[in-house]
Amino acid sequence: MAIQIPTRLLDGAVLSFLKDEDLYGYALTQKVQGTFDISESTIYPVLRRLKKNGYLTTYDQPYQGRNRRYYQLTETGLTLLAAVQKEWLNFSTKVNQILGEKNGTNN
Amino acid sequence: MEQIINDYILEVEENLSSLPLGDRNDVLEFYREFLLDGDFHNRAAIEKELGTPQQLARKIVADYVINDQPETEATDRAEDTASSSQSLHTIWRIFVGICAIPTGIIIGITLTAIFLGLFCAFLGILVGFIGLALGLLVGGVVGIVIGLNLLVASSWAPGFFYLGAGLIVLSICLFIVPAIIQTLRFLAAKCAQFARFLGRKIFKKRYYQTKTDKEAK
Repeated sequence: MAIQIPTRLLDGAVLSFLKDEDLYGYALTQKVQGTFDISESTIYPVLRRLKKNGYLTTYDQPYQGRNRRYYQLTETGLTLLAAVQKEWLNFSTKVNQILGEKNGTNN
Repeated sequence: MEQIINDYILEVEENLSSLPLGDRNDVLEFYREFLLDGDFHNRAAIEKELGTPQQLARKIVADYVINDQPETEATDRAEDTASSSQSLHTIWRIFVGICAIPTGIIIGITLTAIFLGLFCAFLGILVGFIGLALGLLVGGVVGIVIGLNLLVASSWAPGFFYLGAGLIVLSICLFIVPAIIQTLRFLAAKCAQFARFLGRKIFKKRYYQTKTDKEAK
């Protein structure tokens, strides 16, 4: 696919995966990669930035004699998610008007 | 199996010495956990996923250098007071980081040329300024020496003229040195900013490379 996912939407996607449940790094990466075609080393910088800006927090939970770090959405993260969702809805509506089904199939 | 992962992480760590300890541990733990959870059994599988330890480390460092630096105006000013060597160091790390990202040969050559150009320009200006300062210093001292000699020989007017000229040139030299240092600092900071800007551009395009991109390589 020639269209690359913008950072803003990747942020939104990560936040959205964390909305319902807290996830650890590998599981989150799997989820993101299930939808988007991005490499593993992309996820950490995204998580780091979101955490640094207070949209995420982390906590450790023991698992098989080691720790798993879980990522959890904060209140501000939730606000950001809502904002990105709104932006995307707005944007995608416009793109659909131009490139969407109605225009694409009527010739 | 765990030993293979530990070895890999250890090698990444060796290449992360420029990161603060806390950040270093965080990122290493993330990847250790990732590899354990992902059940990576051998070195080849790990490197296929994350690249060689050095490649991964460079990406990590570049991410820190490019994204953890001031973006607002207020902190830009703080950056202007960073020493020239700090700025040059930043430029270098960005360059190394970019090198770790797969780019085409053309882009690679262009980037190397740009960074080399920046470095040479900076070095040229530095040498030029040092030459100017040294010239003024030597000129001033010589003027004073000639003036004193003439005074000793009782040629009052030319003696005072040379002495005065020498003192003026010396004081100009004293004024100019701090200005030069400021200018160099400013230039280095601007170069670092430019490198970071360039880095961000390239990262946006390449860092967020897709899985299929990588496999096609």
